[in-house]
Amino acid sequence: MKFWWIILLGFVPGSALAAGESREALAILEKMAEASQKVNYSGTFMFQHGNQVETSRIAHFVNPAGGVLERLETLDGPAREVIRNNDQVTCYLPGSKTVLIDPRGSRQFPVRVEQIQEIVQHYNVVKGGMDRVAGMQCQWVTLTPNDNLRYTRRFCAELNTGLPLQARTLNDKNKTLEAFAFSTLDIGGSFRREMVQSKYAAMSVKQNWRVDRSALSADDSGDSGWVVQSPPAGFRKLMELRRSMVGKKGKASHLVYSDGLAAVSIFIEPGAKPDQKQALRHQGALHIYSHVVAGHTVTILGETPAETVLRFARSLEPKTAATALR
Amino acid sequence: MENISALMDGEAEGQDAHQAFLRLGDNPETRESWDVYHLIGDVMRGETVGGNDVSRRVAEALSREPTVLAPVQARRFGSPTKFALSAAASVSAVAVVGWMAFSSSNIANPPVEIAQVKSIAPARAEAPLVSVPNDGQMNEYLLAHQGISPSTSLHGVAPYIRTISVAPAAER
Repeated sequence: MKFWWIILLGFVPGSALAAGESREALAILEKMAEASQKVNYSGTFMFQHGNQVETSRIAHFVNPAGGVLERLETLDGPAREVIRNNDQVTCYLPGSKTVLIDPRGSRQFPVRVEQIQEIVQHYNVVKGGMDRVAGMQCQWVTLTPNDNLRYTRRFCAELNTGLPLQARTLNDKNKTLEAFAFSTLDIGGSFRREMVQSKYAAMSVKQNWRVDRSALSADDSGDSGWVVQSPPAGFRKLMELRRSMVGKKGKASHLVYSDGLAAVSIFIEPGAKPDQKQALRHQGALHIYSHVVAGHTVTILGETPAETVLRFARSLEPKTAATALR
Repeated sequence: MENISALMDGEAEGQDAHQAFLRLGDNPETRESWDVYHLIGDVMRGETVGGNDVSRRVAEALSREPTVLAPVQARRFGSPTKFALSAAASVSAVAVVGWMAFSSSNIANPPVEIAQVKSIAPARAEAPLVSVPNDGQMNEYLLAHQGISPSTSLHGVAPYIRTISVAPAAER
């Protein structure tokens, strides 16, 4: 099989082949992006970030009328559960008897075809070899960034559905920061209510667990009062809104930027603790930077290298100051 | 100025040292250079800097320990004026790098360089900016972020594992 490709390579001009290869790789990406909106699946997966590996059970059902129903349950360590239905994400944390509710769950931004065109501008998309994950055949696709403002992403997409069976995020030193892989998987099962029903919902009501709920402002006017003067190359603003945060009083501004694949969130909350210092944290492929700007606590996080998050921090200004400069 | 430098380096002796000291007391300008040299020396040796009371501290230290002028003592740390110059040079070099990092939108600079600017600046001793593992904190932000991330649309609910992940230390 390999030899066959080499012979073929000899006959096709380099550039045409590169374009063909890349087109094929893009088709896989498109299929992968559509899979989560089309395919039912259930199974167990491993998620590795840093030195931590966690195994979880997942069930994912697509509602033919639109939206998805999902349940995730951790199998290692303390029990935790995430339920996502059409309009919200609910996290049950039995250890601390806490329920976290985020209504934004459904209004996420699916990777669309036009977004894939955007991805190509910042990543070199290359089709890789075949592999076998969770007993199924899959095709590797590697997205290598053109600069060091984003990470390398590798996906192994299931041949028929495009569902990513394995995914890796690597830094510029080729070190795996995060890895996701199914160990068992059943694709295409029909909807079974009990598979997406919460184990803890009834218990949480009966035992009066603490409920932390975030909400979006009614006036989703899109003006946070803050501006990113020059976002890092390739990052475009996806949204800007006011929201409340889980476990926090008052409103926060939330700005979201993305290069089509990686997203960066900027949260701006009025007020700051007197002892608030700047801090940079990481968790797997995520970097989180927090500091104080003009009496506001600014938290920036994204699945990007620290530099990208710090560039957003340097570029963020209150709008009044920005207009005064002009 | 040269006398002060010689005095700092422990090269002035006897009558010269005495003369230099007398001038130090009279002339506020030379006093200032003396303070600044010492301040830079302290910073480079990693000694704590008390802020504005340097001249008082230096005076106290001098009254307690005249041996500070002995050549052997001075050579232990090399020449304070050389320290001062190299310190000034490295501070400005780092400042240039820092400035480039802040002003350039095309060249990526690791955040460590920014951290150096902060750790060297004697005026405000701030901890260097080093990324620390996020041990099960910031969950409210992770939850809000996860809902909008394209990775959520690729992996479904799976990336929420980050949001609810528990630090090993915090395990019950």
